[in-house]
Amino acid sequence: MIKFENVSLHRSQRCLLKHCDLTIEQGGFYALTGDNGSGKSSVLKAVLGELGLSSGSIVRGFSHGDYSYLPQKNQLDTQFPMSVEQAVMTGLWSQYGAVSALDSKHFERINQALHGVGIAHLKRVSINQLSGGQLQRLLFARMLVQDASLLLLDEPLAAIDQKAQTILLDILKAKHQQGVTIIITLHDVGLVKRYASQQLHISDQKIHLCNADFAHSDDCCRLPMRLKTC
Amino acid sequence: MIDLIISPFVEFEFMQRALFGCLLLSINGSLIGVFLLLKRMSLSGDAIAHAILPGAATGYFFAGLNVLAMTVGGLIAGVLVAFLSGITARKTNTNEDSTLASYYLCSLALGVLIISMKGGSVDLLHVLFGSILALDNDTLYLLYFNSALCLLGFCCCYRFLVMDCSDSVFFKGLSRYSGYSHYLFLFLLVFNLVAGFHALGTLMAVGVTVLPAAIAKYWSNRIESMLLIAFVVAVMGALLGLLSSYYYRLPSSSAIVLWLGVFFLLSVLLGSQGGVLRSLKSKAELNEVLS
Amino acid sequence: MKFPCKIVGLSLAFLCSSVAVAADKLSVVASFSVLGDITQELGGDKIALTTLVGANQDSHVYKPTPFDVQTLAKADLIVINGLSFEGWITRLEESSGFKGLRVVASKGANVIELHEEEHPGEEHDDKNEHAKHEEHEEHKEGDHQESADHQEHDEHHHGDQDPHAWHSLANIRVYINNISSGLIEADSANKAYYQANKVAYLAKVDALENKLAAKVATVPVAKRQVIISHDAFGYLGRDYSFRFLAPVGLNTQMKPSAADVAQLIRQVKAQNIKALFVENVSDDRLIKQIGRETGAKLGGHLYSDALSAESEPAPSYLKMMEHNIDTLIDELQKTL
Repeated sequence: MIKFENVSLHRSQRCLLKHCDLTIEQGGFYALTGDNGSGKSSVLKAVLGELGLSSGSIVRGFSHGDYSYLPQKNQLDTQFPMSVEQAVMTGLWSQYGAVSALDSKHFERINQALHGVGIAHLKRVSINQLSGGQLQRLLFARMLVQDASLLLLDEPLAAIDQKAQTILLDILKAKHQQGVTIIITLHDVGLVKRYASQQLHISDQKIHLCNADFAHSDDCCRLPMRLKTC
Repeated sequence: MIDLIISPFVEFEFMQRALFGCLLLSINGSLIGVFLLLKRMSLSGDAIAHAILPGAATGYFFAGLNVLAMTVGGLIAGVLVAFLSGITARKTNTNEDSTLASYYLCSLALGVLIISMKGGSVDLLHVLFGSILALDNDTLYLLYFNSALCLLGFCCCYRFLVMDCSDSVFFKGLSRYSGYSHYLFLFLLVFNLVAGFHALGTLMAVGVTVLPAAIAKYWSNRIESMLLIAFVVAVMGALLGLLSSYYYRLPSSSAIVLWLGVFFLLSVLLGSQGGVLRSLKSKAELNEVLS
Repeated sequence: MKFPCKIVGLSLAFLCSSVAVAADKLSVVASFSVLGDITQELGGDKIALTTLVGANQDSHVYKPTPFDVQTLAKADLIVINGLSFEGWITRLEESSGFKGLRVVASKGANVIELHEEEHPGEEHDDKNEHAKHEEHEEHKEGDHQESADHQEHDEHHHGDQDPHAWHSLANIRVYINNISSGLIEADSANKAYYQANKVAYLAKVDALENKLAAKVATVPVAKRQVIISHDAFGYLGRDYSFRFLAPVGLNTQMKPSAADVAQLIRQVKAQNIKALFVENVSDDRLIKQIGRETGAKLGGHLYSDALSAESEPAPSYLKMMEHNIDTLIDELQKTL
């Protein structure tokens, strides 16, 4: 799905990656880990083409519009006068575009997504009245309705309590089982082990790919079980 | 009572034209004003009023006091400044208000320079700017055209604008054309302002665009109802302003804008969405419940 | 051999004398075109004249340039109208450090006071005057139609007197006397020359006055009413018993209220006024709208606050006065 070929990545004069080769397979559930500042967000942005590479190239097996990205700093204007339902509706853009009407199928999908993340009771509420956690779940729902084949999530669980985290990760797991490729930034090793199939660990300007069952944060690199280092 | 409201319009053609002109302006004003508010660009109206000067001055330089030449020149200058500030803001990741401020000031200075080269002290913009009480046929046609253009533009790109305003980063991931709606909006903004200045003067053109949207924000948290409220408020302000100008000898543009100002203050106090007195009231109720 | 020497000698002498004459010319600045024209007539070739606000330009909104400041700094004499017509002149004089002679042309003229109750020449009632002052106040915070120079609004505040005194031939004699005296005081060496010019010009004024009186007499007083954009012709009205109706007062910057326009339209309809005129320095859309609504026909172009360009009908003061009266009377005669 995504192939890194001799990729070097710099940000603010710091070298984040040096000459990396990596293949991200379709249908995998990748947990992206690494210390703060190691370059997790930058890697995601590079995959999307929003960050320029210092060398090498990234071969993308997905098209524009077939991915869904949840950035670390959400850009949704919470002061915008819309309801939760309308905000989730924006995720269906590719279905209705500029002029078509929405039909019952679309509304069904929206309802499902809202139920899934647990904010169906807030459907008609204005987005400026949501708490941080509720907002994050809204963004999740918006991502779900897009029905993309590649999901990229950058620190999506920061504002959310334990129970909600479980709900959301369960949803991602279900999506994974449907064949969706997922790359998600995680800090909690336990969550990595429970949900992800593989771990991408960034350290020393390299990405270490290993089987998630054996994830041990920094030690991932040193284990004989690791699959690959670029 | 009804007679008091209707009779000035029955007796005088200029009053009918003024009301009609206000109605046309309210259509565009509410559409553009609400999105200006959402994009946090409400002050740009005034900036653009100054930015059009070098265009008008160039028109004056080559064609003398020819209103068409100056209006077209002003439109070109305004669009250039708006586009430049939009592009600069987006590409260099700065705020649009600072880029607009910078470009309009340069533009204004350039305009003053061009005028001084031709020499003389014609009040250029005064010739260019009209009055609500003096809407001749040509000016009304301009306002018609302006409204039609605006409505067409918004019909085409309403959803684009909503997406772009609410979450532009998200929208960029969904559509390759996400950025264009902003430029179309800027074009409509400048056209609306230039037509508005020419027909009605700066105070009216900017006032009827910015104030109704600000008022609507205090009464609604859905964009659809904001648009409707803005339109209704604009028309009411125009009606009351014209009647005040008629019965109390107030200058018409100022009267209209001042009525809108009164509505604004009332909304700040009593608005259901964030009005001061409402929040005080709910705080008081909460205290009662707790104690 | 001798011949070329004579030529050279004569040419040199001529050059020297003209240089000497140029060096001796009185440097005069006039505030606007009407004063410029009169001053030129009186000063002839003994003065080097600069006019600040030229033909077809609006003194109400004039903004002095650094060049003007320089010109004024080197000038010997400045001629202004006074009566708060040139709101910008005080600051210009201060910033240029002008130390020459100052002539206020309207000094001693028969000035129209604005707060007088009945006045045959003007169509105001008291409310209008008060509204005007209020409009000035709000106008200061109102439209900023030009650059961010807010000062200009303060400068447009007229006093309680109508400044357009030059529209009266009787007053112009006072202007001529004042300007001429100023020239003589600044340049006493050429006193006789200036006196001669003054006499000649006054003769022209007398001749024009008779001519115009005869022309105006062809229209009965009751019929002498017209609509105009702004109230610049109070003096013309006073001298010749015209009634000028305008939606806007004395300042081109002011904004009429709907009530003003409505009242004007009612009056025009009631009195069956058929003649409407536009001017060279203001936007004519309002007046044309009034014309449409009342059926009054556009009679022509009048010159109020500035002279016209050379190719147009009012390039000099005398021609302007004649043109204005001719245009007014010709149109009114059609309605007789």
